[in-house]
Amino acid sequence: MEGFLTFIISIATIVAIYSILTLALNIRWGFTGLLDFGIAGFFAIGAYTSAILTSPPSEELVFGVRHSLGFGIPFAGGVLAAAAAAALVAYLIGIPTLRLRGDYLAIMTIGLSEIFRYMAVNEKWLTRGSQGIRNLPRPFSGYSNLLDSLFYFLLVVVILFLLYLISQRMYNSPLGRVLKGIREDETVTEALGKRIFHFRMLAFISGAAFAGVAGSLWAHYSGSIMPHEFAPDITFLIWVSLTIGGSGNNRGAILGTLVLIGLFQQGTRFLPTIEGYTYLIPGLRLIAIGFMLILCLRFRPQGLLPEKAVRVEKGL
Amino acid sequence: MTILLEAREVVKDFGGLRAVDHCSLSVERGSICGLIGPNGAGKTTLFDLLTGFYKPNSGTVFFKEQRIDGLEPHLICLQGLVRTFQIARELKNMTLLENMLLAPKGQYGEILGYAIARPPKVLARERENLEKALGVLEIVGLEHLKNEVAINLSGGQRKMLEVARALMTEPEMLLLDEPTAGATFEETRKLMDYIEKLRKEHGLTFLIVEHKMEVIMNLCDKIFVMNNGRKLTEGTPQEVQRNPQVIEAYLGA
Repeated sequence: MEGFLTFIISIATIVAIYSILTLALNIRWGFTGLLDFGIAGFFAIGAYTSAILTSPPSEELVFGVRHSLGFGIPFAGGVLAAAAAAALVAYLIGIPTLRLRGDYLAIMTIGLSEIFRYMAVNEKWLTRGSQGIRNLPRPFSGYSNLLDSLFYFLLVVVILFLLYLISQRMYNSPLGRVLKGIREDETVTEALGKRIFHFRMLAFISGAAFAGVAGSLWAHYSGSIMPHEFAPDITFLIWVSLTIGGSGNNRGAILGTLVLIGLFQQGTRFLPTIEGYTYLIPGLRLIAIGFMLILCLRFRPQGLLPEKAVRVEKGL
Repeated sequence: MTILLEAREVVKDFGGLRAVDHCSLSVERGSICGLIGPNGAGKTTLFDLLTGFYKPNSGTVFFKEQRIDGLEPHLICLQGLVRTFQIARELKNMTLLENMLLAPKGQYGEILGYAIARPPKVLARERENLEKALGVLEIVGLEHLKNEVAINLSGGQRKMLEVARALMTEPEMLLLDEPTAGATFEETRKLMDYIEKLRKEHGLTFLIVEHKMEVIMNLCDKIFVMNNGRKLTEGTPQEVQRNPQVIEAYLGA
């Protein structure tokens, strides 16, 4: 029983962390219309920043490589630093890329997210390469398996809720209006005196900070991180989540993640493997996700919770 | 009368095609000027040059005695020179009120920190802008549609919304590109009266591209005629109507 509960809580934690990623994509794509395929990259930057900063300093040799990095700062510092690092990287790569439109931005962002991953593989002095960084500290731990995971889950949910509120505020503010204006028609928004580049940058950076937080939470949830965990398939799962849930709608983003990651990706982990066909279930899972996406695009293109028109007068 | 907007000898080439060829015009503050000419004469390209969407290959543009050619479009808007588009560009999935409230300058709520923390001054500014937007929507007869998404508007209503939205930036001068295209007779009348009123009560200056001759001839103090990228002539409506070159350009020779 306890094992089962721990299992459910771990799935719920994964869903909550991925929901933050979907919120990040929603700010970039749902609000602003930035065709961004680099979410996994900022997720990785957040995870590695937090892992390196919170690991205790050590001089041990790991598989023949001296691993001397690690600063032993507390968990909260790791989360904030992860957000800041991801935001800083977003700012730097935003300068040349955010002037690009549509598909060019898509190619740049997916390329850069792969470059980050390969950096994590190759810069062994910093990241321990493909061995990954292990034994990451987790806050509120040391009671029992169940309690530890429960506490961490609650922490993640609180952070998710905070980020959801921030995202809602952004969407309903004059800032959100400009972001939507850019999504609908850049030229008009510019003709009305808004500096497009500045606002695209704001959306890009905010999304990066969200993804950075998610990366940090992921690192301390799983206790170890490896470069291959940050492959582009995460980006695409997040895209499918947002599309199914309802692009432009923050609640939709979370619901979509719950449906896709919770039910389809994680929820099917308990299915028994079929003797002799080890890869059958994972393969079927991807087919099911693809099928679900097609059904959604055909029958409910705005997603489960479509974006609602903002009623400006409300709350004034 | 002072000159508000002045273009001197502006030229714009697209490859081998000279779309605007040494055009000069000057618009006095508080006047309503028309810009007419057959299709392809270069009227919209000239608008693009005046509002920063294109950079002229040569020539200069002055607004309030400052050079504005080469400035980015949003900066020209902030100076008080605002345009609308020939094909209405409403923000389709946003409500009319959202369309309107996008435009005002200096909104505190556009700053990330203020958008999230939402201090009272953000809401106060928002309330002010809302009141103004409702007022303008009422005048152009779109108030009953204020919470409708813009995609549901008719062609004429879209053009009205464009003008209304441009007014929300508190411009000193409006460049309207075919503001009554697709509008009904009723809507056209209403818009003409409104333009007249804005000039009289707020001292706004207008430069209007229009194909409906009754609009141009009744509204404008001065008309510029373009053909093949060049300025053919300028003058009062009566002068322009009598000019044989204009008649030839329109009817063909």
